[in-house]
Amino acid sequence: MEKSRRIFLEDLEEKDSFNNDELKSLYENIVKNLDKHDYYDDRELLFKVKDILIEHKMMFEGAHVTKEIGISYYKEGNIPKAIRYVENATYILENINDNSDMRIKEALVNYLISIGVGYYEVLSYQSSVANFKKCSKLIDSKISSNVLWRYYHEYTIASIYAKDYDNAKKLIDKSLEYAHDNVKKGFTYNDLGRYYWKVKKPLDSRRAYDKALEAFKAENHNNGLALIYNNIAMLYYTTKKNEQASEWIEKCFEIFDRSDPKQCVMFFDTYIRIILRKHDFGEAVDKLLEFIKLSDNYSFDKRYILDSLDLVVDRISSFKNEEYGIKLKNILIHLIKQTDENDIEDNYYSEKLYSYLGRLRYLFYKKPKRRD
Amino acid sequence: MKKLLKSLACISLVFILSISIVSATDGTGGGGMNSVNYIIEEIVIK
Repeated sequence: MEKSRRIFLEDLEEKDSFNNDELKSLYENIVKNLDKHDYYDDRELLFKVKDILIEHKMMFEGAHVTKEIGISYYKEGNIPKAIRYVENATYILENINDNSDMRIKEALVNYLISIGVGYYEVLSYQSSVANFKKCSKLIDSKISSNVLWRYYHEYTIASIYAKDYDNAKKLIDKSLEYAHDNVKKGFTYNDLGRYYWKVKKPLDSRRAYDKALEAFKAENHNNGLALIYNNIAMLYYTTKKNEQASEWIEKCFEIFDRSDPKQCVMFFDTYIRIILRKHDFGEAVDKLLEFIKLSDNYSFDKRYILDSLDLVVDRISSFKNEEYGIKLKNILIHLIKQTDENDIEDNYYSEKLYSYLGRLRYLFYKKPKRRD
Repeated sequence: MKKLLKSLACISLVFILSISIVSATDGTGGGGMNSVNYIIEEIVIK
């Protein structure tokens, strides 16, 4: 595969001009095989194809590949750069200036939604909402229901983050209109459950989560089910019903996909939170170790473990539990040894590890016994 | 006086260290920037 890719790139570099059919098949080859041939890891190729398409005035296709360059950054966790490239893709589309072409309009809506998602993922909620507002000017009934649902669903998430709950409720009502399958229904009822939770209506929240469970169960959608089990656990956790919270997070741990770092972060965090409330520091440290092992097995970016680590360090330090404080110190030393020394100065992960270690050393420092 | 200042500094340091942001982890169900979770984008070619 690697060989064929290299030949592909060399072919492109050697060629001076392309006819229309060649350009179309080049575009088709790239966008249809993005995942299949690991083209996302190969930005050199994506840049080359984008330049060729734009040079030959295939602006829509060029914009699409530019957006995919953004997605390649997103896949490696560089969201600011991902946003920049998807924004570039929208500029290209906006400059085509053909409002009658539904294909352009729909792509533009999709890109603006992606930018909105990117912004809320980096916690810039106002920028996220601003993008969805910009997007709302393009929304009409001719846009496909898939895209419309995505718009209302993601805009709901941004509005809840921005604490605009009235708007969130209106958006949920709209997304229910376009949730034509069980998976979309499941995610929309999850939005409704989160909305009720935020406006402090736990009973309504639970009812919405039950509807989400029903929808996901009908599709055997394990990721969706795990998400709702986690959210019900959080609902009980915040209403101080710890037994029920434990019960639901256990259900989540029975099924969730350990290879997905984002799910791991969320669910381990909830689990550890619930255990720590019971002051069971031993189990919290064990769960943390389980997460660290998973991150080794699936080669996660180690930054994913920081949320859980932060929780455990914070609680154990606050309660000054020496036994587990020392255990935690050893875990940190082990993690620090794994880091690349050359990276330390400019590495958020390493900096965090050192700051946790410093905090634990400060609290659990023992003077060595003096030898007489 | 020096001792007093030193112990005050220690107390405030412990206080600062024990403050942490506790945010609840409810899952949004967001599909990410490429929305692969629930939508397969249709590729329309001219």
